Amino acid sequence: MSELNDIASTLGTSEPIFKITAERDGQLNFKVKQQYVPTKTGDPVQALIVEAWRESLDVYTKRFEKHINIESAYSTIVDTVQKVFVNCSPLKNPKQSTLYKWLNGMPLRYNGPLSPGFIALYRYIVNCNIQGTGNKNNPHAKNVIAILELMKEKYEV
Amino acid sequence: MGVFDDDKLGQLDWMSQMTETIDSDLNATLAKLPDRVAITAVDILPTRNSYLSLSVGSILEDYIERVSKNVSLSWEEDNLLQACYAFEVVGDAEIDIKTGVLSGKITLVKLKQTFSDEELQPLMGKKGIAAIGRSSDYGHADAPIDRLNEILEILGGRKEAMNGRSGKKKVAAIKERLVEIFKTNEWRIRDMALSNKVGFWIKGYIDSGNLCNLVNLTKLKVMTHNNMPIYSVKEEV
Repeated sequence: MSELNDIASTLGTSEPIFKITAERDGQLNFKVKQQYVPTKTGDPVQALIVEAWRESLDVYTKRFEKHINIESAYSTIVDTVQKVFVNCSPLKNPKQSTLYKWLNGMPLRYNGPLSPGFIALYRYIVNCNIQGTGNKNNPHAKNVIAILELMKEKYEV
Repeated sequence: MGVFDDDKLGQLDWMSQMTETIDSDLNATLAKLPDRVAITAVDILPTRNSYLSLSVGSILEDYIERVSKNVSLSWEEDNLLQACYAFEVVGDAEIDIKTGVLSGKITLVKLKQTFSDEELQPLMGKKGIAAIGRSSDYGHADAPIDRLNEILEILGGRKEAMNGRSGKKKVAAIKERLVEIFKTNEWRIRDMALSNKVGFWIKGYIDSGNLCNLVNLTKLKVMTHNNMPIYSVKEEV
C-alpha cells in the first residue's frame, strides 16, 4: 500500500443512524446522529486526503461508504511542486527550462516511482510555507529545486 | 319539475342554501382519508428508488388512490389534500439503517377535516378549462369559427373576439372569460363537478358540434338569471 492509500484507510465514516425531526412545514428531516468528521493531524499530506474525503449512504450495503479521490490529491501535490519551481526558480524564463518541461510532461499517475519523492517535497514545501512565495532566494525553495534536479537526473528516461 | 330546476339545491339544508358553500368531491375524499397514519421503518428505509426521504405525498398516495378510485386528481387538488396533513414526531425518533430499527413514534396526522370555500374557489372550473386545450390548436383555417362565436355569445363579455377570423384568438378569449367567470363567481356555480363540466361541454360542442353540449351550457346560462346559487343542471346526454 502506498502512503496516500495508507492515510485514506485511517479515515472512517459515520454510523448510519439518523435523527428524525418534524419540520415547521410538516415534512420530516433526517440528520446523521453522529456525523463523522475526519480530523487533521497537522501533516499537510494527511490534510489533503482529509479535504478529499466524502461519504455517501449506500442503500445496498446499508452503511456510509467513503469516497476519497486520491488521484486528485496527488495532482494537487505535483501542481504545488511545479508552482514552487516556476515561482522560485532563478531562471529568467523557468517554463522554457528542461526541468520544467520534464515536470510538466510527466504522467500525473499516482503510484509511479516518483510519487514518494513528490509527496515528501510537498510536505516540505507546506511545512516551510513556501508554496505561495515567489522569493528566489528562499533557501527552502532552493532546496526543492535542487532535489527536483536530482530527481530528474535519476528518473528521466 | 321545470327544465331549469336545480334538484341538488332543493335537497340542501337551509344553512347550505344560505351560505352557498361549495360542494366538492374533494371534501368527500378528504373525509375518507385516515385521521392518523402510523409511520413504520419500512416507510422510511432507503430503497433503490428513494433515498431516505419521506413526504406527505408518498404516504398519502396509496390512500388517495384507494378512496378516489377512478377519479384522477389534479396537481393542485393533490397539493391541497397533502396540505391537510403533517408529520408528528413523539420522543427522540431515530432510525438505524443497518438494523432497520425505528425508535420513537412518527405519525402522519390530519390537521383539517374540510376545505373552506376560499381554498376551493381557485379550483373551480379548472379541469374543464384545461380540457379545452391549447388555443394554438385552433389556429388552422378549418377552425369552427361559427361555433366558437356561439360560445363567446353565450359566455358574454368578450364581444371583440367575435369580430375576427382567428380560431386561436377566439379560444383564448373563451378560456380567459371562463377564468373570469369562476374567479369572480359571476355565475354563482357552487358545485365543483358542475363547474368543471362547463369546459367539457364547450370542448364537446366546438370539436364535434354536439348539440347536447350546447343545450347544457345554454341551460346553465339561463339559470344564472335566477339569481340563485347553482348546484346542478338537468343534463342532456
